[in-house]
Parts: sequence; C-alpha cells; structure tokens
Amino acid sequence: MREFFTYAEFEDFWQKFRPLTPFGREVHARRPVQTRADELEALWDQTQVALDLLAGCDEFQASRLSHHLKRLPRIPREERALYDEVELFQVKKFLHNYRALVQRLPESVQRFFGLEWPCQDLLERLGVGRQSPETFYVSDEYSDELAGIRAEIRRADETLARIRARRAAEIEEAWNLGFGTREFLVVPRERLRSPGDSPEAGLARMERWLLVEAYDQAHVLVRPRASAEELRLEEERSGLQARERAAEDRVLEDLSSRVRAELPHLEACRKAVQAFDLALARARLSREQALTRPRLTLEGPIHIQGGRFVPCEETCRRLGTTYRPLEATFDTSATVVFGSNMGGKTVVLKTLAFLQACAQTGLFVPAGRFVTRVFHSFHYVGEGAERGPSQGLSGFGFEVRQFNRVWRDLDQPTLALFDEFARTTHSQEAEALISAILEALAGNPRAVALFSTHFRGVRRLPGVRYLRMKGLDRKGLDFGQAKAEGPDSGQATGTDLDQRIRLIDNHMEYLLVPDEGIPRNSDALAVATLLGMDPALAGRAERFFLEGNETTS
Amino acid sequence: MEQVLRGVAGAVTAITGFEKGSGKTAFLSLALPHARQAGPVALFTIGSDGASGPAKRSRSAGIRVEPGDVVLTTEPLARASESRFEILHTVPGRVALGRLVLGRARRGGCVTLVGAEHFSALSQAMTLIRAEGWAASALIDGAVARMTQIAALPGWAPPGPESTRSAGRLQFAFAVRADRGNLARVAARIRLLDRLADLPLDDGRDPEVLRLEGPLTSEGLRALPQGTAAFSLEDFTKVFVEPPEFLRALEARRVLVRRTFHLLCFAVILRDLSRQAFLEALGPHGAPRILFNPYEAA
Repeated sequence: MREFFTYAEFEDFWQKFRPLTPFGREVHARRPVQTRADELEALWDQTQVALDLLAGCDEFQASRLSHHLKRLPRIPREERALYDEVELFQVKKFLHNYRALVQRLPESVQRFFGLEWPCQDLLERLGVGRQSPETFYVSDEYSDELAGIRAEIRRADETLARIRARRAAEIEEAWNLGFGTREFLVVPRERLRSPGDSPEAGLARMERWLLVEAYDQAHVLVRPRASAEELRLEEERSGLQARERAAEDRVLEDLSSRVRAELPHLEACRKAVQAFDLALARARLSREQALTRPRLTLEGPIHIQGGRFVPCEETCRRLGTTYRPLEATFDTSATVVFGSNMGGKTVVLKTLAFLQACAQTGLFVPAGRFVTRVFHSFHYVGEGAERGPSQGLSGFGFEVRQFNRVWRDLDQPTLALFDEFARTTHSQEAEALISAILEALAGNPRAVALFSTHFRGVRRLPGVRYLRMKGLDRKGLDFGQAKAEGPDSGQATGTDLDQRIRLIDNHMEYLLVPDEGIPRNSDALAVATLLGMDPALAGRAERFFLEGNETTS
Repeated sequence: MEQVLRGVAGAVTAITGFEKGSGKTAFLSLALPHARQAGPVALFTIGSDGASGPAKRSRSAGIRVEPGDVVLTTEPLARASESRFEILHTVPGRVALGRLVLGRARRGGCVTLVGAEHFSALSQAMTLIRAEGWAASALIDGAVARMTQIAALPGWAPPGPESTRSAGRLQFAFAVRADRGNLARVAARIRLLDRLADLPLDDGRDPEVLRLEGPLTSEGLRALPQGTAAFSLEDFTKVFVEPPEFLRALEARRVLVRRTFHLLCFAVILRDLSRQAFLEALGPHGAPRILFNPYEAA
C-alpha cells in the first residue's frame, strides 16, 4: 500500500488537505483508506454538504467557522473520578466553541452531521463566576466555603504586605537600605557597622533585621529577616492554602461528576465535529483544486475524463509547458500500455494511481469525471519500490517478490500497476513472463492491472486491452538542428537541456490510442536525436530498427 | 538603571546569562515590575544553566507573580503555587513535571516557571498570547546557549527585516557575573556582543554583500570567497566564532545583519572586583550598556 501511494506521489497532495481540529488531524495523520463503497459514498455526501455550505457563505462566515474549529481542544474521553483543572478547561473551551460553531450552521447542516447541543447545563456550570468563556478558573462563586477561605487568605496577604512594608521602612531608617522591589541587596561591609557599636553588638542589632550572607571580601548580601509576626502569618496562610486546596478539590469533584455524566454526549459531539471538520477540509480542498465527486461501479470499466495527475500538472505549470489531462477507459482486467521513452505511459499509470488514492481516502478527485471501483489492495511493481531488508536479490528478483505479493492478493479487489516490469531481464523471457501474467489476469474480474512496457513481443491475448501512447508528432521537428550544435550537444545541460525537453514535450502527443501491433518508426531514437545524440548514429540505429521490424513481420 | 529597565515595558526581552549563577532570574524579578508598567507580563523560561536531569532541565527558580501576569508552567506546579491561576491554554506536549499550561495569575504569589520541551511550542504560545492580547510584555529567562533559538521567537511585531528597533521588539539583556578568574573572558564576550549588536542592517540592495545562511563558524569565515568585502548574517546570534577572530574579521570586512535585535544591557555583578578594574578590562567598548550590580545598595 505504501509503495503504491509513494508511486502515486500522493503525499504532498494529502498535505494540502488540512483539518483544523485535533480530532480531524488525528484522522489526517492515519490517512485511512476506505474499502467500503457505502462509507465512501457517505464521506462524499458529507463533502458535498460542506461544499454547498461554503457556496452559501461569505468569506467572513467561512472564517468564523474555521475560527471555532481551530479553537476546539482535545477533551478527556475516559471516565475518571477526578478531572484536573486542565481537563475541565478543555471541556469548557470545547463546549464554548462547539456551541458557537453549531449556532453558525444552518439547521439542515446541523442535522446532517448530528451536530446537536446537549451540554448547556455543563457549560454554564463550568463558567460560574467571573471568568472568560474560553478559560477556566475555580472561582470563589463555586462554593461559599472556598470564597470564605480565599477572603481570609486575602486578609492575611494584606496584613503580610503591611508588615513587610513597615519592616522595610524600619530597615531603611535604621540602615539606609531601600530594597524597593528587590529581594536582596549587595552592601559594603562597613555600611552595617555603626560607629559606637562593638562588633558583637553591631552583629546582634543587624541580625534582628537582616539575613546576612558573605558576598565577596568587601560586600555582604542582605535580605530582610522575617519577624515573628510575619512567620506566624505565613504559617497561618500556609494552613489556609491547604484548606483552599481541599475546598477546590471538592469543587473539582462536583464538576468531574457532571463531566462524567455528560461523557456520552461529549463523545457524540466530538465525533460529529470531527466528521464536519474533515468534510469542510475536503470541501476546501475541492474548491482550491477543482475536484469532482468520483462515481463508483461494481465491476464496470474505469473511466477517466480530464484526469489530472496534480504533481505533473504543477511541474508543467512551473516549467511553462502544456499539461494534457488523461482521457482513458480501462474496460478489461488487464491493459498493456506501450510507448516510447518520455511518451507519458508512466504518467498514465500514475494518474490512475493518484485518482484512486484520492477517491479511496475520501477526497474528491482532480478529474472531469472518474468512474472507478473500490479496491481492497493496491500494488505497484517496478522501479523505485522499496527493496526492504532482503539481501542478495537483483532488481529482477525484487520485482518477482513484489509480484508474488500481488499474486497472493488477487482473490480480492486489487489494483496493480506494473511499470516496465521485468525490464532488467532478457526481453524474450520478459515478454513470456508478462504474457503469462496477462493471460492469468484476463480471466480475473476482481483485478484491474495496467502494464507499461517497451516489450512489443508480449502475446496478443483475448480479454486484454492493448493501448499505446500516440507518441511524437514529427511535423515541424528539425532533427538536423541537434547536429548543428556540434559534438557537445550530447552533454546538453541547464537551459539548453530545458529547451530540448520542452521541444520534446511540445511535440509529444500524450494520448492513449488503441495499439494494433503495427510496427512504427522508433520514437525512442527520435527522442535520443532530440536530446543531442549524433544524428548519423541515430539514423543508423533507425535503419537497424526498421530492418528488424521487416524481419519479424 | 530605572531608565534601562523601563525598556522592558511593551517588549519581548530575553534575559540570558553567560554561565550558571549569572543572575538571570534575579534580573528577571528586578525587571518584572518595570514590564508591568505597560500591562500584564508573560513570563517564560528556556532551559537552564547546567542543570541536569529531565526534571531540572527545563525548570527555573520561583518567580513572584501579580494578578494578570501570564506564565508557562505545568498544571501540578500551578496548583501547588501560592498564586491561583486561570487556565488560558494547554501547550502541546508534556514535560517530566506534567502537562504544560499557560495560566493567568488571579492572586499574587510565587510560581515555578517551566520551559517547553520544543521551541516551537514556546513560539506558538507567544504568538497566541500576543494574538489574544493576554500580555503586553514578555520576559524570557533563557541560557545563552539558547540565544540562536531565542532569536527565532516571534517578537510582538512581525518577524523579518522590518522588525528592528521598534515597539514590540525582541531584545536581549545579558546577566554577567565577573570576578578576577573570568574577567578576561567575560570582557571579551561583552566586547564582541556589543559590536555584534551594532552591526548595520543589510537592506538587500548592495550587490557586493554576500548573504550567508545559517551559523558562522571559524571554518565558514575562512571559507569565504576571496575578495569578499562584505557579508551579511541572518542576525547576530548566528556568530559562533571566538571573539578575537571575529573582531579581526570585522576589521577586514564589512559585516551586516538582516535582522537586528536591540541589546538592552549587560547587567554585571562584580565579585571582588572594582568597577574601575572591570571597565579597564573592557576597554572603550560596551561601557554605555553596562548596568553595574543592580542589587547594590545606593
């Protein structure tokens, strides 16, 4: 599966699909592939509803929906005896934004996604006292006991502040030390010695007021020493704080029991908003990328009209070349696509892979029309597939191992793409192997397999469709120009190479047409000439090629 | 001193120290009342100077907060604080000390700040605080080893070349403890930082200026193309060259930065060292930015 998605170059596109809630992002991170038609249809229905909603929204309304979705936090899902303040905060913030979101949606959309609002009492209870709708605080108003304790703490704090201010004033008067907002001061040692004091008397007097630590040879570090009254009040405050914690715990227990009672409702809200978030993200992507809803067929042909392989389309846009969407019908279990190098046969396979990846991850697809089946297994066999830990296998050996995996899955709906399968072995053996596979697949209605290949000697078998890329349109091409550029032209790089590639692109007809098995001029040799190969050498090769065709025909 | 400290109001100030025990947290406590002049203050810590172990690594000493201040701490530490906190936001991820939260103090008291494991979480928290208007200033207690990362934090103003010495700026204050043992090293670092903070801004219009990406190391300095008369760095925190070598480079070439930070001050604590001896070691540079022992009794 992963190799298939890599081959389809789907990952970057998937990253453009951006759910806004943590619940939606969880699904995005898993990238589930749907293998049930009814589930896919349900997802696409949701996308359609979200698209209709966006069509009826102005920019501001749409931004408000995003605003509330983005602010939905995760919420606790397990039943617990005590939820802490953070969890209660999450529940409150979730409910506030969930309610605001639901209120902004038409009733039909609320009903469709099951976006009900059952938790009004809980939200009100979590907002008791003076606090903002998206924050949480165990306010005094939750309990008279708590309010009373906090009032005592306030009084203790005020008294402590007064005592400390008085003590600071006394220290300033006695020692001329103004602490201001500083917790400690660095003082020259001689400042602490009064003229008439003996050292012992001076130290005793000083230590009544100040804690003194050595700082360096000339200075000491001093901080005010707490008076007995201050220490008593601090102790008292500490006791009050312990009582405050206990009172807060009782509030938290009460709120926790209310959250526990609403957990089923909260879970329903979470699921509904997750579905809505994902649908809205799919709808936004559909609008940005001009996607359409795919159609499903049970065992009918795959139809692609105007199918766009978005990574290639973006590359063409960047390079300033024309991108040609794919028109194709795959109405047999096995299809062979012939074509020269740079003729676009790999892009045909990738386009199908890309569209199928979009469809089965629940997205709409970049195509004018895409009729397809639901597959349960997806395979790519060819170059670039991951080799895994096995050692000592050749490229062909790996392909055979890849194929064995396909073979094992063929009893279930399978999409298998073979990009130049067996290209590294002897051509006759490769043709024989591909022919045998084609024969076996032709009679399997559960599979859809596409083979891109250069091997023209594969058997023409009933039940197998043979197509080719239309290839190079040689009209207006000046093959002599490559020669004129001299012997270095074979090492074309940079701008020159870009121009040559663009020339090939502009003359290549990326069209699938039926292949009747009639020998044609070699596009590969023409491409080699256009890429700078000596035309005399290419011409000689063309002659050998045609002689070979005459011999075989 | 008062005038310098007033500069923290309305700004994002990273307080960094050269080494452990250089007085960052004490300086933060000193600056805090001045920051409050502009409104509520957000308080953060990043890493620590040499503390080890998962619990200590991102934890700083307690800070006294007043109602309205916003702190990044964990839920258990918020709960254990003398202060009471209104939970404003949960920061993604978890540290050894519990789940990280942004809390707004509803009552004065001491609280332990805790740093996020990932810098991106701190950056997001700061962006959120600004967007929600929860604080007007921010003070960040962070080790000097984290200076490069701190530079990547959002100021209150949008980051980029335009984010220069204006309101909402990201600025640095360096807490320095100097004694006879480290005097030469400390003086060299102050001289370097002082020069770095004054590097001119590269506005991108001079084609002769070679724009370097990432950190500048000794090797990178030696590998500059021959004939390079001027080069620019992203900002001054990207300099990882020993002071003498970089000062030599400054004499040979024009060095510019594409983002400037204001250097608020060097808060210098002297031990067994006179101001005169320190200033002599420092030489002509840096003196105007020195804030001598802010805890010294007048």
